[in-house]
Amino acid sequence: MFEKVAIMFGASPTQYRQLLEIEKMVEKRAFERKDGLPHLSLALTCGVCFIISVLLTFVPFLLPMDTFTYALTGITMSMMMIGIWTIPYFDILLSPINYPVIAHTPVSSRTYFLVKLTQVATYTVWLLACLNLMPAIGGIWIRSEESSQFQFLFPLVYLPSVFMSGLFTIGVMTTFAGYLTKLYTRQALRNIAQYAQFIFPALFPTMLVIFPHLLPSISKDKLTSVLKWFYALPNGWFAGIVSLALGQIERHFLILAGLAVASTFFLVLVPLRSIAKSYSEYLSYLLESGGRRKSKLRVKTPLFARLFRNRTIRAGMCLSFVYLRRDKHILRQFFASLGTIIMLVVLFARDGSSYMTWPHHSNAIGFSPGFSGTFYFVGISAITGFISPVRYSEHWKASWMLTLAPLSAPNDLWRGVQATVLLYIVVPCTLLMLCIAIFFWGILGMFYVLPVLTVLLYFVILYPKPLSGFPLAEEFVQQQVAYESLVPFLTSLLVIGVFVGIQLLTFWLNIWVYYGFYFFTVASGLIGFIYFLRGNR
Amino acid sequence: MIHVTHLTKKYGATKAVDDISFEVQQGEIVGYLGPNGAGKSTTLKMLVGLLQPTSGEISVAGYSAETELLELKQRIGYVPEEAQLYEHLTLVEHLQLMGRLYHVEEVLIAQKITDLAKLFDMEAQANQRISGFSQGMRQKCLIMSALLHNPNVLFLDEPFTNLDVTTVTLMKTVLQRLVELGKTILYCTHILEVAETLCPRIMIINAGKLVADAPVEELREQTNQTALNEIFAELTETTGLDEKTEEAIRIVMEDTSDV
Repeated sequence: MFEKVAIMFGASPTQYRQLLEIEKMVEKRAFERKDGLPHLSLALTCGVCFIISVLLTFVPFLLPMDTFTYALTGITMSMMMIGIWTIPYFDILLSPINYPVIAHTPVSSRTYFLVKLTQVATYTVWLLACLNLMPAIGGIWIRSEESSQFQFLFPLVYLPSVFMSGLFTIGVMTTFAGYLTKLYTRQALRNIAQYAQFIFPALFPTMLVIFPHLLPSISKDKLTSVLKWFYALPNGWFAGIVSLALGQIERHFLILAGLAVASTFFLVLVPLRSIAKSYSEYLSYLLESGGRRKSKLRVKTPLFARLFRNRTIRAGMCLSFVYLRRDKHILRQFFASLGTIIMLVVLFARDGSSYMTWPHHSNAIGFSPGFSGTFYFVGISAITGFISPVRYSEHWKASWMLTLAPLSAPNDLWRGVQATVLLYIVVPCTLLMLCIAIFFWGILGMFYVLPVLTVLLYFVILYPKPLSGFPLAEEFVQQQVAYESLVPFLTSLLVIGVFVGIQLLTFWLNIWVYYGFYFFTVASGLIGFIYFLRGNR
Repeated sequence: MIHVTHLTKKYGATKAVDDISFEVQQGEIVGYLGPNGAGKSTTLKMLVGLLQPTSGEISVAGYSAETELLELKQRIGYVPEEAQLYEHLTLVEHLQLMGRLYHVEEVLIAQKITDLAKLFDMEAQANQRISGFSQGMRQKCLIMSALLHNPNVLFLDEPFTNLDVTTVTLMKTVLQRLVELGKTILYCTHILEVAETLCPRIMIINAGKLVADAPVEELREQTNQTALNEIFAELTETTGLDEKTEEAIRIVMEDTSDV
């Protein structure tokens, strides 16, 4: 079947098949873990998608929902997941590494591009299947004024529509990346992709905060008027196909379905063919890495690195600080983690400052110690966003330099990483949260943020270090990094839960015990921080 | 300065380096030659502490690789075969990193970076990322880092790969001067002409075994050959060149394309 597609695209079916097999083999070997757990992260992502899908399946049983709204929810979720997921694959689709490989061989641009596109599409199908199989079945039980006698056909209509929306999303993302490549330099394109990502992680929690507040206040008429806004968006068009195919022959659904089909064809297939045609040209654009400007020789040391006299710590700090600023994988994960700050602002803006008093006050949002947990969560997300990928690197083979060096305490290099985290992430992050808290609640807000320093300090110190003690010394495999960062992150949430629990317990026992514990926490954080800086000099 | 005794490295049943022993004196530059996969780079990696030997003893600058590895490492400089570098660093940042790892004073690091960049004509690229460097620039980067901490012993694995003629000429002279000043160099290469001009003594390794270790003149007498490439061919048993050439021509000329 794939070979027919190849012919349709004007690609060579033999070359397409061979290249696809090679790419699959290379990818499989790259993802294979030493402990024999290949593709675990894909399985994990599929697992998460499946859990989301189960939750979505029960929505029609809990809330009155018509077919259009239900399909719209599922399709929106799918398009977002595919969108988020496609971004890391920009480099697979438009990889400059491929250029030296294909430029001198008789493989056409279209053939090679199609191979790349097939790779991404295969994973997309997996994700969409996990995300939509259950909701597709759940849709049969939707009962509303608009539901038709053909409701039992819901899975047959919904699934193709979702797959079409997935194709649309990949196409739009690829086309978008393709055209940006022509307009901007490779670095600029990467920056756009990296920096834009901090929006996505904020989106789900933010929606979870906003949605429950909106639901009770929205009447059915209002909801209908809100839904009309979605007619202008692609997810609305694909949901329109579902309503139309289930017998709701109405003019606006006809228009929406028409838009979905036409847009998939004209906005996806046509530009994709165009990119496919000049794929090599795009790759050669990528190779132009912004020119080499002549510059004057400057020997500088980052400001905070001067705090450390131990040269190995200083070396580790400078190395990790450079990678914090320049490595795309680290930036991608780090900026994604910063999305939680948006969540924090939205949460506070929504709940306002009217109830806020001194932390122990029972009228504070929820209960105050628990509420301060949100600050810990933000800090830990930011730290994990850097400290978990910094163990790995595309340039891991360069770690021979670290092995070669006469280091009496190799762990000092990791201490340098910890120093980077503390001085360039923890301190600015705490200050930012302090500003946010003071902005919303005046000077009292400060008391919510102060224990954050303690929690984050010990999180950084206790975060498991690599066996070698070296940063950037393990081969970067996206899935493996994602999987291995999950365990410390989840564990830290558990520890935070316990910490918040202790705070609550002291609050219930006696307010003076609570104050004592609070001041002990804050003081131990400040002392610990100073001790860390002095101890590692 | 370099003492190697019964050095062996096994990968499973395969012996990459098979019971080799040699000595290199202070102020000596020795060429270490051998065909592809003979075990040259493996030997060097063991000598600098990047690989653990299966058996045998190594001593460099009076320090044992087994018990005094840190002291040994502090006194050596190494240019590896492949230019694997942290590519997001600039040349300055890379050299700062290496200087700090070798415990060089911060002021001295800055001074050496300026001087080395000037010497290797890399001032304009000093604050650019290594990822944008050509292969030759990367090689210069490796050589600079090997020289930065003033090592007593240099282990050079194909150090002139991708370098331009001017830099190669400069480096040859620099190496000769360093040897005169008492530095010890083990020079690993495929390029026989360079080895012949630079190294009075040659060691040849073939299939993990040391098959020759003598001054070039002595090797000429032993093999009755005048050119080093002929000596090399005889000692590494690279015979039947004419037959192999004919076979190669036959394979290339076979029509394989259906276009």
